[in-house]
This record gives sequence, structure tokens and C-alpha cells, in this order.
Amino acid sequence: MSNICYITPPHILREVIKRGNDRQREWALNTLMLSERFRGSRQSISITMVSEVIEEKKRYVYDAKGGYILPGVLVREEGGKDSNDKTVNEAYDGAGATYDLFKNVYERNSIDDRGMSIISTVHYGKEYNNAFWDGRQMVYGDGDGEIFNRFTKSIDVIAHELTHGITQYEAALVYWDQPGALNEHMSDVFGSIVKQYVMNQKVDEADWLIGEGLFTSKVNGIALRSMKKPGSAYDDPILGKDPQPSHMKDYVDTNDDNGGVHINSGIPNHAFYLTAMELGGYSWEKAGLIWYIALRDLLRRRSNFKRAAQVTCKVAERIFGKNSKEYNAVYNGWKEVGIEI
Amino acid sequence: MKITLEISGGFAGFHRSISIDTESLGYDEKERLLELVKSANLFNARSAKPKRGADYIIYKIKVEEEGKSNTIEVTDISMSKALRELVDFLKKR
Repeated sequence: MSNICYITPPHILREVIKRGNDRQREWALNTLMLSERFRGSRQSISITMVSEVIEEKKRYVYDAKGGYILPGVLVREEGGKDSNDKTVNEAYDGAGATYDLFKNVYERNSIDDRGMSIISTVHYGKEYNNAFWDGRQMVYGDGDGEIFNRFTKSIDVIAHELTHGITQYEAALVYWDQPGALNEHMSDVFGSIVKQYVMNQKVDEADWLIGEGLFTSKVNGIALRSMKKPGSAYDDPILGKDPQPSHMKDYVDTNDDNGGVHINSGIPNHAFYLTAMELGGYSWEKAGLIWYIALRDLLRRRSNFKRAAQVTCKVAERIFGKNSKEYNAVYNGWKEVGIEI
Repeated sequence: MKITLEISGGFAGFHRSISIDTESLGYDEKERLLELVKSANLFNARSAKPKRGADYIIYKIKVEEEGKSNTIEVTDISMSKALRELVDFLKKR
């Protein structure tokens, strides 16, 4: 690689930075920096040049065509026209709405805050009942039509998956026990916020549901999770009852699901809901901002619920003051779910 | 031979458990299952859980026969084609 470094002219590297994929861009950027440094003129690549070219959305939607190979075939990219396949458009639009929330409200430039491409694959697997983040991209199944509809149907699911990417680049919460449940919690928080942002809903107008519309009409349930009333989203003869607790006294100790990451997230989810309701208005303006700063700057790989309560209070105090209503709302939210700092 | 598949995780966090004793199967199904176990090399297969990512479904597979046993955890992105065929067979039970 080092030979190539010095024979690739800088103007070509700059083109690669503008138009390449993430891997190519990173290579070109490193190469350019290396060679500029080599020539003793590293200031010639200014930060503005680099940030200027990547301050925009770069979405790519692929189709796995029922297989399990990622990413699949490219079917829509940034600026391209609508697909005839609504699943493709949902993945594209949902990723765009999520990018826009983080960009417009929190001044974050994509998943890594450096303009990373947002990659989605639809039609993954056969009758596949899931959506996930694989560490690099989002993946959506079509559902089996019995229990689940397609997973792109709910915009909060899309925002949930993209937020997993952001968490990976920020707090990097390990996916196990309480840090894992916090990882899930952050995805639900911004999943719900993106939906509210798109619908321009205030906190008392929002449904606070995660995955509303995913269940077919055969299932007795409204969604996968409820932040307003954890444990109430479904109660079905086949699926059983929504197992989410809303208070620490009902914390579920289990080895399944990476230590119950999708179960115990109900506790911090409800704390966020209570905080947002106490503050009123739009959830993304205050509660969302506090949670975002905590995720970006203060939470760490192994942070637990108590630590999350401490750092969100700390952020509220720094931004709004010690005895502000914002600080009190955050403090009260956690206290009501059994977490006192 | 006894095989247990536990499915957990995923966006929904659902849990499902399926257990099969090959002795309870008809001849064709038993032969098919033994063939799948063999081609997946189930007694020697290893766990492969991703270091990154979230909401992936976890497939925990345990096989037992005459005092020998092996338990592995795999996901959609980390399992071999042969293991997927085995999982698909078990899921239909």
C-alpha cells in the first residue's frame, strides 16, 4: 500500500474523498495526510476542505433478494429516483429522516459524525422476522406475514437501528446486561424522537410506542414496546405478554437476549418518558438533547443504569443549571423508576 | 440424539425453545436431521457471536448423545450455510 500512497496524485485522492465509499475515502484521506506530511506541507489539506465535502447525506439501499449475503444488490443511492419497491423507499426515507434529526437538532454528521455512508439492506432472508445493525449497516427482514409485517414499516425501527450505529461510535455500550439495556434504550429513545420529529408531535401527542404497525392483525398487540407503559405493548396467546418492567424492583435477571437487553430497557425508557412529559413541548429539544450529550460525551462502555442517571443529571445541570426545572425533571424521571442518584 | 434450539434476542427480544429427540422422529425425518447434524459438524462447531452490532437473533444450539454434548451460540451473520439449514429444519418443528 505504501508504494501506492506516493504515486497517487493528490487531485485523484481528493476526488476519491469526494466520491468514494467509506473505505476508499478513509484510505484516500489517510494517504493524502501521509503524503502531505511527507512533503512537509500538511496544512494544505484544511479541515474545511474535508468537512465541506462530506456534510451531506450519503444513503445506499441494497436488496438481499431473500438471501443472507450482505449487502446485496444496490437498488437506490443518494439523489436517485424513487424505487417501485416501497420497502426500498421506506428504508431510504427513514434513514434520511434520522440523519436529518441528528444533523438539524444535534449538529451530528451521520453515524460516525464524519459523514459516514448510511447503508441499508432490505428483503434479507426468507420470512425473516427481524431488523438489526451488523456493526456497519442496517438490515431489514420482510416478516413472515403471520406475526410480523416488513420491518421498514415503522420509522422508529429504522431510527432505532441507525442509533445503534451512533452508540457504537460514541459510548460504545457493551451489548450485555445493564450497559446493553442502555444501548437498547438509546435506540428506543431516538427511534421514538425521530417519529415525533417527522410527525411534528409534542410529547403529549406522541404514542411513545416502538414498532407500532409491525404486528399483523392476527397478533393481539399494538407494538413491540411502550415507553409510556412498559409491559403493555402486547398480550398474545402465541407471543405471550410484553415482559418489560418499568421499575427497578421488577428488573429481570436472565441469560437470554444478552442478559435481557430488550427487556430491562423498559426501565430507562420509562425514565426518559417521564422526564420528557414533565418538561413538555418537543421531546428532542430538551430531554433528547440531554440524552444525546450523555451518550456522546459521558457514557462509557460499561456504564450501568445508575451511571446513566448520574450523567444525564450532570448534563442537565451543566446546560440548564442545578436547580433548573430541566435538572429536576431528569432527576425525578429516574427516581420514579427506582434509580436515585 | 437430542437437539435443543433456543432462539432469543432480535429487535423484538422474543424467546423460543425447540427440543427434538431423534428417536421420536419417523425414519425419513430422522435421517434428514442426522445428515444436517453431520454436515454442520455440530459436535465440533464453535460459538460465533459478533463483537459489534445489535438486535441480532441469537441461536443457541445444544446437541447431546451418549454422554457427549456441545453447545454453541451463533447469529445470522456468523453461521455457516450448513448450520442455517439445521436451524431452518428445527424452526419448522
